[in-house]
Amino acid sequence: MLDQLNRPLTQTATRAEVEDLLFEEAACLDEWRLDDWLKLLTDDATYEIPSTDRSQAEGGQSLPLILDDNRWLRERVKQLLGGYTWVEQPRSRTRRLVGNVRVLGVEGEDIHVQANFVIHRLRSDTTAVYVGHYENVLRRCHGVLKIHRRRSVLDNESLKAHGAIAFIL
Amino acid sequence: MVKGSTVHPIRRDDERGIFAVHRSVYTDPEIQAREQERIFDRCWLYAAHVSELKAPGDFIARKIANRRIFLVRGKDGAVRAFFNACTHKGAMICRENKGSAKLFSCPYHAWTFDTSGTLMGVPDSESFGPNFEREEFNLNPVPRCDISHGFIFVSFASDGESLPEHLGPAAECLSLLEDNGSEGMQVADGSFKYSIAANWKLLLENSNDAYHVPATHRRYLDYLKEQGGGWANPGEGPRTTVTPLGKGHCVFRLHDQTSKMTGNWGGSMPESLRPGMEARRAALEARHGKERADLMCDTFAILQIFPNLLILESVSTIIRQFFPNGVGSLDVNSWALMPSDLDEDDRAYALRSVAAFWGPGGFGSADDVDILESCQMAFTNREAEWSLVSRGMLADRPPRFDDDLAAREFWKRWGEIVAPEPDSKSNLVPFAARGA
Repeated sequence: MLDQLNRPLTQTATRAEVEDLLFEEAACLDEWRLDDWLKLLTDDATYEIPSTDRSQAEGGQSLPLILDDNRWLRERVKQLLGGYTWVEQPRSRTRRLVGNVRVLGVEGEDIHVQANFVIHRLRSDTTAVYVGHYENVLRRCHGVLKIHRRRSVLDNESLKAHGAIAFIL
Repeated sequence: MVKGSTVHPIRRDDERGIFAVHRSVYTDPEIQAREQERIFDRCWLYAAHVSELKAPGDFIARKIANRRIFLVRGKDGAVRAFFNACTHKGAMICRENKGSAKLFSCPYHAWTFDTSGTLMGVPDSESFGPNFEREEFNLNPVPRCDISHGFIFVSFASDGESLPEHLGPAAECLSLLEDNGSEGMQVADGSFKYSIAANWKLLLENSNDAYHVPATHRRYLDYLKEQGGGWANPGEGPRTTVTPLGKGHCVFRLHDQTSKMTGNWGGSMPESLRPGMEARRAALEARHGKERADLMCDTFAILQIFPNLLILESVSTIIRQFFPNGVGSLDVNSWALMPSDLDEDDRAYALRSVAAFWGPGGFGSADDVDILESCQMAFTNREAEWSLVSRGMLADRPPRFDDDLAAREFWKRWGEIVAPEPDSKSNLVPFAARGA
């Protein structure tokens, strides 16, 4: 697949354009503007976090931490904004640094993007650090760059310091 | 028994329907030390599932009750458990969490062992002198390792009850689980590894408690209601039966369920899964008869095996195990268990459904983590002493899944082992009398 991705980059997206999207996304999530965040996604966007085991099994064939289709993704946001998601009630503070943004290549209408993240979550006098990278697929909808597939791959070997993944990672 | 007093940590008055636990059981390091010594150093503990060790040479390294052990299937097909420590200087010889090997070579001085633990190679062994006997330095086996219906258990005590004696009728529940797959059951790749800043017993109580579901998991039940399912209040919900199995084990069953990977197509399952699901059910009926097939396909069982194993069925099945990590913290390991003949689409659906609720990223367990941590935080309020475990004790009806029966079964066994009854009953002050 990487061979395909290594084809010369088309004009589909520049790194600056991708960075603008990812940085705006980070701001939406840290500021709990989750409805705004949804607007950065395609209507059929999916959200995935594989298990910290780093299983080599093909997609969907190993136990995921999160594997939201679009319906579940929107339900997740709705619940996070509702009053009964105790793990975010009161809400945590998060701060995320997104960097090392790379446009890997283009496949049809899919723009493959990788970026590293470090996210601190602070709540109840404890701090948990989530480290990893995004493997995102972006698409252009009516000229606007949006996130079509969002995959957050953790470097953390377990969630022993975290307990849960309560917010959008 | 409670530190600094003569009060027994469990108060029980069957006539008045009172069962209460002193909160020092969640905070007292002395009680924790006694649990380690009397429960975790002695009891049979779940270690792995046979499907994780398919072929000779397959191994997995696990941390069980603060020990580093590894399990390996030998050339002879037998599963063995060893302490993961070289018999020479103690370095860990199994450095990957799982894999396959013909030999285990210690990275420190290259002592080499085969899959049955036999010491095969010692560089320059002559220098250890004429009295060095290689066979005295085979790997140290975990004192006991036994398998019940595909579930591998270990015990760090060389004596004590056998695994069948420990499990009793719970073994039949494991047998039923094993039969869920016409071609056996399979633990899927990937696991949940997370910790909760709470005493381990809080997760035990939480995992078998349906009373908390309408409140703690309201957001999930609201979602199910929108999909045409779910329930809103305690006492509602599916028809259930609760069966104590002795020795702290218990099973409760939610009947008349409408979607289960074992062979019950329904609920919001896509049409594409239907043929496979119906074929699996037909195969189970042919093999085990209708009654047993119905039990496997139409009920969700929540099986509690003392001290720290829960096997939780819903659309799919999760094996949840946890160990104390200090008195105020616990480590969870969970795996998805499913029939091994599921095709790719079925397996993907099963894995998604496990993650949706039971995982640390799911719509359910994440809130449990938060609530249990809040309990533990609040246990610093030492003046607020007792927790109540009495639901359903005097109820004039069969036990329900939102009663505390499973938790009481656990606490009774825990009490027998960790805090035997005091000689005099004079300590058993009725719960209502506290602070009055």
